[in-house]
Amino acid sequence: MQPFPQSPQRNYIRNLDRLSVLIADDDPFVGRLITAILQDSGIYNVHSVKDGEEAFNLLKERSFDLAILDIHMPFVNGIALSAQIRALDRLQRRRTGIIIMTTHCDATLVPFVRANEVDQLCLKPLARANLIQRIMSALSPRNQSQREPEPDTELNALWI
Amino acid sequence: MTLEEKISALSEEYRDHIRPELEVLRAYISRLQSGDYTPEDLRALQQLAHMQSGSAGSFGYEQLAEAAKATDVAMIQGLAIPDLVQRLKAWETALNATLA
Repeated sequence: MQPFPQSPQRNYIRNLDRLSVLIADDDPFVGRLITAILQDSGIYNVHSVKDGEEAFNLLKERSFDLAILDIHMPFVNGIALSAQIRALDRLQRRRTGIIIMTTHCDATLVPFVRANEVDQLCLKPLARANLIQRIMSALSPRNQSQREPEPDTELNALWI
Repeated sequence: MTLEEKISALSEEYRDHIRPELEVLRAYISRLQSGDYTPEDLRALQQLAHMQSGSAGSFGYEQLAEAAKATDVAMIQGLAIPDLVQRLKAWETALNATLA
């Protein structure tokens, strides 16, 4: 594995150790894998939950800088969670970075992803470099002001 | 422990975690072949396929992920049971090879 990329993108994000990240995936191994990758990159404030309901309840209690959400989860899916996050963002005058993880390229997702201002789509299986790139992009000032989401490379066709 | 070591250990743990799913999968195949299955069986089977397709590849088990994904897609598309059973058998083969 390559070390954390020292690209200009990294300059967008200061105090990586203070970043708070929510991971919601019904497969705990995915949560543990992402947590390991984040910690290796200097991001230690990571909360991993096993389903959408747990994430939903946690979001009512506290906010996060970034949410990495599986699209298919029991009770509340990643798209519904994105809507919840955006509603809370409006109330709190903040903007949470949102990454949706999906296994399939599914064009039916597009309107829902756009409507909820999802910043990045990340295709599973997860690759470390791609995940880090998605995280940096989701947290960059560009994405904080520009609402058009960026898809994973294999999802590009969906956004034309 | 380096990230590589953590991921390697996690991959091994993941493989142990999915080991019981081989027998679960074989039981589903048997039920589908005999016609003795319920809609809940199909739902649970698709959930299993979806989870493995999403996670196995992340731990380096690409062939297993592909086989599980093929099953997941087939079930989304409503593939006929005899054809679905063929996908399940390919998935079983990939899972067996992963666990060997």
